[in-house]
Amino acid sequence: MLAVLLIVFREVLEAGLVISIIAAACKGITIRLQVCTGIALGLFGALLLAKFTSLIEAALSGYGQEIFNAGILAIAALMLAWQNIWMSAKGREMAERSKENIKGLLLDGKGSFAIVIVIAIAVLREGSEVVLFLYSLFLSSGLTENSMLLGGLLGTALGAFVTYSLYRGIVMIPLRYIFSSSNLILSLIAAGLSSQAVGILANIGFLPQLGSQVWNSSFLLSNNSWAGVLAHSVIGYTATPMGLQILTWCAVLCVISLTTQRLKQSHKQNKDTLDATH
Amino acid sequence: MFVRCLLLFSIFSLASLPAYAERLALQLQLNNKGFTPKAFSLPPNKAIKIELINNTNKVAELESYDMKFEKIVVPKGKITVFTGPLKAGQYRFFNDYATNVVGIVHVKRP
Repeated sequence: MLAVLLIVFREVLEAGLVISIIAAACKGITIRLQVCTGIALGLFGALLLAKFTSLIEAALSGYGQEIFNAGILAIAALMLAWQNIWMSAKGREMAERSKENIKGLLLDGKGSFAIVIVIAIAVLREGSEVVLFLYSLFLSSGLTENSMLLGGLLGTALGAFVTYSLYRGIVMIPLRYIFSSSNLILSLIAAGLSSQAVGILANIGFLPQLGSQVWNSSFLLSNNSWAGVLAHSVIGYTATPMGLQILTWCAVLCVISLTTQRLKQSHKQNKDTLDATH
Repeated sequence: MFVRCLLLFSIFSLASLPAYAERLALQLQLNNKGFTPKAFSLPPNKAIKIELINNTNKVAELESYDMKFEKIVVPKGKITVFTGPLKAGQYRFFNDYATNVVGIVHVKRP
């Protein structure tokens, strides 16, 4: 039972970690509704996905699951990039309005629909695994001997609880210091997701690998360790990256930060010219 | 500029596809006692595909950090994972949904 609890707990925590960090990085705009909608959508998707896993596997001559996974990772990365750029544009809008209007602007978080999709995808990925795992336990353990299933359910609850505490914890730390550049944090997650996506496509030969193992940093941070697994799910860390993964990681990071930087700069220029005319 | 890069990139990736067309296929089974075979050898610098049949009545996840795959296999189901080309050395794969169900791949020149 304990083993089952740990396995499910880890899956839930992996998705939860990403959600907590994104939610914390977006603090300042009200996104509670978006986060909840995302989780609900993700759970629903996870149930569907669990039902059709073997179908997806059989599709596209055995590459179905890889293409599907790479696809949703890429969508998540795109949405994060969009959210990032939207947030810097929002900052500009905020500065242009009067103080009374800012509150209203923050309350209507309509522009951050991208967050719904990112969170739904995070839940979808790990959720379908948990659903399948628990379902097979339910089938194989029967009703008389279901301490395994109980362990699974406890693991889910514990994971959700730790995720929430983690979020509260991150939020309580003086945000100014850690999340002063939430842009950077969201970009890092987007870069990690994209490098995972191209990694999957390169593994099945749809993209060139550009070197299968450019370096091996297992001695520093092994993928087998706890920290390595967490680093993998947050920034896409792998001890033996492909050349293509490194390139993609850097490129995505550069494109997002340059775009947001440029938006901020043009805002500053606008403001300066505005001040000059007054 | 961007379009040109993209074009070059896609031509490059198309050109490299045939290299992966021939993959070394390996059959693997998961039973209640673990993987059979538990260990096998492979030549270096070859694209590889591993087929796994799950003979147990539980969901399993075939995963490897150093070979970069992770795939769920339902009871009595069959999956294929792809990896390589690998450098010489030892690689580890496992069932992520169980404790201590592990297999080893030795990559060395025959």
